Amino acid sequence: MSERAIGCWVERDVVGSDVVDHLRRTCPEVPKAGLREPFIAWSDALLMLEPARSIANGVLNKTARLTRAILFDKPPGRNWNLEIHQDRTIAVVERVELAGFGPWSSKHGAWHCEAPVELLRRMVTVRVHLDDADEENGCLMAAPMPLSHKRQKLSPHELLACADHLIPMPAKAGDAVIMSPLTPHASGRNTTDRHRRVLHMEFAAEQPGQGLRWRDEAEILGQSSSMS
Amino acid sequence: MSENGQDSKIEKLVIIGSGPAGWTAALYASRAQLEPLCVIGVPKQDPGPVLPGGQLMLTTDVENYPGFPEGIAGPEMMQLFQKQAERFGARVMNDDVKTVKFNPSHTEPHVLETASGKTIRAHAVIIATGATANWLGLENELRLATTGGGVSACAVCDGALPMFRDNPVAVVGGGDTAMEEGHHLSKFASKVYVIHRRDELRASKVMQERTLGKGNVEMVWNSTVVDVLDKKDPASGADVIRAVVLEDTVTNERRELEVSGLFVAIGHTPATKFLRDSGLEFDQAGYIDLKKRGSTTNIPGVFAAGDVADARYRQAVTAAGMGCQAALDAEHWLGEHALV
Repeated sequence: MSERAIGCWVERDVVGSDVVDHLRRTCPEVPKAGLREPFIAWSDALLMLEPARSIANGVLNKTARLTRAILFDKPPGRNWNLEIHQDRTIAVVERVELAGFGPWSSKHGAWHCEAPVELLRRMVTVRVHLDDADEENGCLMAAPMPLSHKRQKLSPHELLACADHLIPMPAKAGDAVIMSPLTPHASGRNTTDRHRRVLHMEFAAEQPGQGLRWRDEAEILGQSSSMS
Repeated sequence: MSENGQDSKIEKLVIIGSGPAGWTAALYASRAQLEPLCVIGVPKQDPGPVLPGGQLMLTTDVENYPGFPEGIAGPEMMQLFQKQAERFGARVMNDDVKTVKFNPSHTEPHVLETASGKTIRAHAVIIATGATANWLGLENELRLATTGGGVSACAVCDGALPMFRDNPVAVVGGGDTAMEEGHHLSKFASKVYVIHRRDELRASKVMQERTLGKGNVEMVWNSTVVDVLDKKDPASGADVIRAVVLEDTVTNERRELEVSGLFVAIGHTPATKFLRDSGLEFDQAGYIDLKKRGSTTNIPGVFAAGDVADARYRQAVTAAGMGCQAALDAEHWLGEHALV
């Protein structure tokens, strides 16, 4: 993540309206915790990958690789608010006990761990919107201050203090919200009869290091036969 | 709101912008029962950071705004501005105005289209969108500025980063902003070169003495930056600045000056892109041209306040004052035309 960039911002019209219309028609139902492995379950999601990667390349100043993707929705009548937090967890191929990485957990067949701040600073998240998102249907709220997102992991008390500085990140379908994993963020409930679907993609330019490896991108995209 | 985003309601007053001018206008307008709708923007990179709340969102300490004897952080101050305006009924829309269609006759409302596709109709509009920092326009400058490569237009935002600490840096400019940037950087950098194209500064004497009196600040006279050279950072592999190429404005000779940071302090550009073809009149520098020593523009019912219309002072306190003027002018205009 560029040290110069703010911690969260909106890019308009990343995906064209025709493509968005198509994606909205073919989008599968999303479970509450989000649809893991969305590219495997829904091949049309690939239409959002390269526009998102192009943004990530620019932010990271290198060719970015997809490290994880989740399709989220806040459907009408069945949704929740998300308290302020940072995205500190990464998904990797295998568990390797290393200083700075952990605690570990296994979710949906992939190893996850909390990553050190130095690694998180070199990652970026691109969230492509399938539906218009605003405060009424639970758009992302972020504290994008230049000096707050890239420094460190924040304590619960510090995160709570950031809650006073949350700014809505409204986006229309086809827009992308770009965010450092360290940017404190939250989202409210969907109080409308609209969906709030967004494809959340995490990118990194380099391997985590010290023997840890990202999952193969082909595997994440469902283009590999060696699923773990 | 209808399905196509067209709102049939006509707002009495829409305020575009959310810096000191915008929020002060909102405060006065809401206390005058105008129920202003404040379109405050969304965060973006353009190419530098642009945040709702304006330039003060990138300022750590504001020490020259009356009423805060110990100083106050810029973002905190803007939050207080917003709270005060909202307390009296100002409404907030997190969106950007993309295009405007101003109607010179007060019988038809002005029409604003937002980036998210909404249409807003309003009898009166106050433009308080502020200004953003200027860049030299060099390819490498902008590339490194947007990728954390050591080029910045805000020393207060970035000057304390490790990449600049105990390293030589350069500031480009000759005004008060350049002096402020140089003074701030002198606390962190081993050496601060202030590069100026002439042999004298525009900056105030006080600022000159304060900055140039620092032992590690050195003027580079009669020079312009014509290129920014980079290298691979061994730790991150990213491109970072290694030197600037200077051209002597008298002899045309070129030389390299090795630096680990470049801070561009050559003024600001008013945020008026969305006002193209609106019929509004601008001054030579592109700032909104105000009439009659007030906030009125050449279009009836359209007012302006703050840095978008002020190339001279560009202070939070003057912007706030202009916001007050604009709200009072708008209130008066709406009453005069029986629109409230």
